[in-house]
Amino acid sequence: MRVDLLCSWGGHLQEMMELRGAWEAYDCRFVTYESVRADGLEEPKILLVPPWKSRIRFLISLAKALPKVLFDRPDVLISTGMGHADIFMFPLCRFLGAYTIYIESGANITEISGSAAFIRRFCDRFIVRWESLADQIGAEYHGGIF
Amino acid sequence: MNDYPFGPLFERMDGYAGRSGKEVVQQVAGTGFRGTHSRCFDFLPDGGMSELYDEADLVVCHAGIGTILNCLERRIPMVLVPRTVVCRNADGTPDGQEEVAAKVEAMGRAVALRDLDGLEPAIEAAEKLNIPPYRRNRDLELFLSALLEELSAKKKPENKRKSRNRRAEA
Repeated sequence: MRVDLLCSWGGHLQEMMELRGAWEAYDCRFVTYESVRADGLEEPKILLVPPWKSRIRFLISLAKALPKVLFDRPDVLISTGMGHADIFMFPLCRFLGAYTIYIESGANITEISGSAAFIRRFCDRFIVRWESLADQIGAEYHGGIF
Repeated sequence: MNDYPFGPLFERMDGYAGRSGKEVVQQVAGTGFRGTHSRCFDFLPDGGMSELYDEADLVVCHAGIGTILNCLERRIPMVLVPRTVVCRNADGTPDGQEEVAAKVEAMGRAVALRDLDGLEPAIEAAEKLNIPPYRRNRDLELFLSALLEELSAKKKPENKRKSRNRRAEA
């Protein structure tokens, strides 16, 4: 089963690694932004130019990544937060028939991010890491960040 | 520490290194800051960061989840500096990092800084923390593990059907 793992760098990547025990047994592929940390991730991986460095180069890198996603489709998409890339990847992968799981960062305690709010409609599972937030917005909660 | 606008904190930590004689290593992430008394670098790959965490007696950091998780696992006391402590939001709104810092402080594993002038007393207070062993919360990992197993089991019969169809077509 092909599992695509989407995450930005820093805490989002760390949060994905904390869930390694769940996904490492499958045929996994990281989709993340170019960074020193991303260089250390095992292949296969798709690296995108961070949009905060250049929006145009981000879109070009996204366009280059599309054939990889289309011709090697994920069965499951899991994101711990990748901002702009989530906005493109969730609708696309849902359209391609992937099971989509979004896990909001534990950094968001009282409200979800703008990109999370947008992609929620394209998620089979929308999970947050704080019970109070889950109650407040009607999201799923399956355990805290700490 | 890799988030704008932490320049004032880098400067204070560099001054602290000079006054205390303690070894201070700072991740300054392309801000161009270079200390007189502290060792500064922009980024390190995972292995390099792990080595630094393993050697650290104390971590002063923004209240970002990645650094916090690394410190919790290694039982390193923290001084958490939410970005609003260094630079107030223009509209005066609170920042999520303040809430995260307060939560970790309530766990007894960090001192949350509320004013940059309180940095050195906060370091002293954090050094005195008695950090208990940390048990990582694996609830979501276990839930996800069961979910992926279920999805994988559903997918296997489809694969078998597809290969049977392919054989029949051949």
